[in-house]
Amino acid sequence: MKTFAYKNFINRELSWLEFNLRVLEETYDELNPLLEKLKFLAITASNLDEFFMVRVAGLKEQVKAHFFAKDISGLTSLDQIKKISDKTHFLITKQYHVYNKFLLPQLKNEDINIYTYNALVGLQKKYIDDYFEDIIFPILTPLAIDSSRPFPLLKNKAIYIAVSLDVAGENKTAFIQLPTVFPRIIKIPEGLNNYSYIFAEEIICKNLNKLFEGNKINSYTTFRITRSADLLFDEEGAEDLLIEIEKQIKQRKLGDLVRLEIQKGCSSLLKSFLLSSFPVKKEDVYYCDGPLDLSHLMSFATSFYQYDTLFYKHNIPINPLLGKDMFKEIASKDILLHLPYQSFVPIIALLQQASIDDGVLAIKQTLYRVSSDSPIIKALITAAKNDKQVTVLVELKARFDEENNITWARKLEEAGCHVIYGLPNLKIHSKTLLIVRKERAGIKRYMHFSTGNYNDKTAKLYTDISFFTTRESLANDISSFFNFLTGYTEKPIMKKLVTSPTHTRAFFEKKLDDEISNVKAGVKGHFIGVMNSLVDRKLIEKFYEASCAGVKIQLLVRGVCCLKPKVKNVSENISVISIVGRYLEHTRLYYFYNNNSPLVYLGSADLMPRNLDRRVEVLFPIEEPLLIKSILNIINMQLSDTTKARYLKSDGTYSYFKHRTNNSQQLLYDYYSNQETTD
Amino acid sequence: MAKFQTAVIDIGSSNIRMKIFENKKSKIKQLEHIELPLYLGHDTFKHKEISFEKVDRLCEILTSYKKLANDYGINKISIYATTAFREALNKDYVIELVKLRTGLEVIVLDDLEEKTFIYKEIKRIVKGKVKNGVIAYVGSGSLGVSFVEKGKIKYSQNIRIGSLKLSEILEPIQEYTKKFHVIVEQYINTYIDVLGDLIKGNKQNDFIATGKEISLIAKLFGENINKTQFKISKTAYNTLYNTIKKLTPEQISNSYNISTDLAETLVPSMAMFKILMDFSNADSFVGYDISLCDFIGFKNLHPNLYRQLDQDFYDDIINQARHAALRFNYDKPHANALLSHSLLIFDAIKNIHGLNQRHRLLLRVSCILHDSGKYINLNAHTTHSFNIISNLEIAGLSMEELEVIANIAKYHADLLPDKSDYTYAKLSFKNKMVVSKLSAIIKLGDALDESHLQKLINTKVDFSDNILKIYTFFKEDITLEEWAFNNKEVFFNNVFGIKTLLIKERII
Repeated sequence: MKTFAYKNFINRELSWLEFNLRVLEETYDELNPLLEKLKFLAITASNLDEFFMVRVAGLKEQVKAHFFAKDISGLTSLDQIKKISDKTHFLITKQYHVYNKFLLPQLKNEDINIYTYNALVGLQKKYIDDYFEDIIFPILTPLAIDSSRPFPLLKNKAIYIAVSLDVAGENKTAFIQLPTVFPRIIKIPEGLNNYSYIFAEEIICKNLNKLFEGNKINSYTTFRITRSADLLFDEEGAEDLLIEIEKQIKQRKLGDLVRLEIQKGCSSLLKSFLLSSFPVKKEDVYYCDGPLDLSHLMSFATSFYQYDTLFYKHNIPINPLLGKDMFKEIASKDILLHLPYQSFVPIIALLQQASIDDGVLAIKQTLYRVSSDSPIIKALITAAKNDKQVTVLVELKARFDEENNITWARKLEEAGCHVIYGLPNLKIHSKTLLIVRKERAGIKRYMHFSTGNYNDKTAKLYTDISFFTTRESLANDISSFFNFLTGYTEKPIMKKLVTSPTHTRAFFEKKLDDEISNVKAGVKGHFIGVMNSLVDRKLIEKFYEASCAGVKIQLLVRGVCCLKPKVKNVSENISVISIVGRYLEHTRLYYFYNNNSPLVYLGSADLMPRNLDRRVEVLFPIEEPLLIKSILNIINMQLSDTTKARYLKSDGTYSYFKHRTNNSQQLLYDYYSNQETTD
Repeated sequence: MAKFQTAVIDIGSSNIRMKIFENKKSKIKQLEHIELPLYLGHDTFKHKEISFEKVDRLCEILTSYKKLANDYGINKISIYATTAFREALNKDYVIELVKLRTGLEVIVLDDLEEKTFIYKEIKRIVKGKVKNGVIAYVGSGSLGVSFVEKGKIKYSQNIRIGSLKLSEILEPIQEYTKKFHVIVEQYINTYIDVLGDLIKGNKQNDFIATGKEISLIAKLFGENINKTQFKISKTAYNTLYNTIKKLTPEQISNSYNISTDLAETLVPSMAMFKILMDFSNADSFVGYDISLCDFIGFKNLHPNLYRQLDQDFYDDIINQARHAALRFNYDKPHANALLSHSLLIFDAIKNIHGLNQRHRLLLRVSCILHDSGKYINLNAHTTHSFNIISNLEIAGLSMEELEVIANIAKYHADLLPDKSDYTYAKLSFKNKMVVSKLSAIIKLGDALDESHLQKLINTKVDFSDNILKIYTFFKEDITLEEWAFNNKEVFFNNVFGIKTLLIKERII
């Protein structure tokens, strides 16, 4: 296979930062309602936290281990850290610029005022001072920092106030952790049903004299540290994965430090104290022109639920199966649901129906991320109590969701479900459900496959495609797949499904080779891929090879994309667009023209090495011609998006289209709502 | 009523497999196929016993399989074990342990039963398409070969070398030689070189291969693994074999992307197929990916069709018996006369002997082979017949049935079944009765051709009023036959509690 030089690839981390910049663009986009913009800003902040905790932490680990191999684009870990720092500095400047210059004034226009302490007047000030005395003060614990005691262990992502004090002529420093027991942004009542707001740290900082009575406050600042959080442990040695993960969660606050954020305007004395106290390099330090940790704006924005006009118009998910007998419907035909335009309710309904159906013998399901009060879990518990054989494959390693996962996994076990906790070294990422039902004519197997998780909450925000079927060939494959996961067999025999970690890569190579051969034979070659991330070098090279051969390749990659489109003699026939909008594009969909007999596969796998080689993933084919047609319709609507789509340029940056007319997410909702009944 | 779903577990030498089938509109649908490796063969072939660690794992696997069967509402599972279990010295303890721990009862198939299932399954699938050919079954622990002539099995032989067993036996040599395949071929030849002589002069146009490595071989040839049958040319097979045989298991594993465990048994298995294919004139290798599970599944779900298939196989059994008898220079006209007399009697008293069609088959085989001991020595020939028959292999008959036939042959002449006789004493009560009844019949039948001259031109039998009347029509004097009849009817009368009457009618 042909290989391509470093210059033909985009670094994964920089591409991710580009994605976060696109999310940030949404905060500027006048098409978005104000509080949605605030939410987007919060998302960029929490995204960045995760990015530092996992990706940057990983790179720092590499440096520590003296591992200097080059990445796909020819950068060493050191190079990458430097470039990430540059780009993140740019991103943070933009974040605070939009916050200070655009969002705060716009909020003010809507009569939502976030004040500084000094801007408070009369009763407002009194209220806040009383609030400090009564609520905040009793729970504050200043930590004195001096050589006589060990440097305190600071919590990951918590906000601290550093105070420089004059204690009997000597300069001392103390830290105060911002408590999380009260809201970060505190309401100040202004008459009936009218409020203004202030950040909690602002109140504390302005009342420091009460905390350090008798000592002179020289200066103060807020700061925040981010630690490495990657879950790295030896699964082979872990006798009980559950216990191991619980341990890891406890240890998370002890990870290596990867970022230090300090509020802009910090005194040079405190700045040098902080820089000398933490093992950080200059490039790891970020000065923020406003409140630290903008992710708090999410709960702040959502608290204004009564301000309808400041949010997106409510799109009620369409439920074409409302009140229907799910078994009857699925047995009569294959069914597709396009979330969140269509409803997640039929999936819950199927499980609820199965849990009390006399004919149902067994239910098997993979669960990756579920909501904390999940109706799915409840239905499974009911099923187990009704003597159904319930087998649940729980992936405890779903990052940052482990605590939640452990709680409900225990609940399932208590109810009598057979709970299996993942496989060593393989994260179960597939989203599959199998219901074995005894009917008059014999055993019938009902299946549900999805590109998204069994999570009723995210199902309202993420775009995913759900598929119900009773096709025998898929039933055999999915049974085999579950048998593999439950350890009943080592060799799953697949006829239709494409599964990772063994088959997905070879499948793409083979199908792309077929497109190449078709083009060489004078037939059209065309591939469309919809995914979250495109990172895998070998497959990107296969795309380049196909492009050079004349295969048309259209990619809709929402997040990271290491492929450079439109490069002469490399990728001239490849176009990449990214849709970032109201809903998180989450679908993974692959279309091969296949000499005019289209192949459409959906599933859980992105084209990243981890999805191809290190995870359990399932791609499922759509074979019903009418459904293939409706999927092509969806793809075409997305490909003609000019409003929320940006196109990737060969320099790795993205641009909006000139005439922003088509918003595919809104058009798709309109399309479905013109078709069927709502929930 | 026939079952709708059935679960079958096959405990092999290197893996434990379960299949779940459903009877849907008279067709068998496979709902599940699971397989986990467990090298029981490593234990049995090396240490003669199954270790406790393996028993623990076996119970673990069986418990999980039971759970999956429960997912389909199946409570009763058919569990069959083959060579690794059969040859383990502690097999009885293991069966008991498995039963106590899992509640499941393992049935250990004898070598003949195992191969019989395989041949029947092949017959079921090929539906009479194989006229003349060689069927080779290479299991992990044993090898079965049968020669088919005019659509019937003529000769079959089980050899206790399977792919895993061979790789275990020859493992110590492997490190010291670069030509491991040569040793494998030579070793196999020491077992099967005589087969060539047996089938000399016959046309063997087809070569049918089946066994554990078949799906792997199909995969190596890029065949669709989901098909039950595939065909490749002999040249192509030999080319691949010649490439693979020179590689170490590690090299095979890397080159063909298969596990080392599979790679280890591939060369022995392909070598066995190659050598057996050379016995035939076939120009192609036809692989059948069939399994014991499939056959038992069919047997459980379609008991009527199975019965039919079983009866169709009777002809193969008789054919094999005749070819075996031929090897011992049997007196064919006498055997035929005996057969005809015995069956007349058997059928006439069917309401009182309580025996079934299967016993009738045993009687037929006994008639064909009863005098084979004369090949060794005319003196005490019935004892020699017993020894020959109990050491024969006839696909379609179990070891237990051969034991019964051997005893019938032993008692066809003067000897009477006697509890002080070891070979009779060790039979079950049920089989003792079968031997006594069938030997009583064969004794009478034999008496009617005592001179081996087929003097009776016609014979008719009538059973009424508790008297078995035998009408004989003859030209030559039959005093010898009459004398023999009178001597042997006493035993017959005692066994069945009926009287016998020989009615003679001389014709011109």
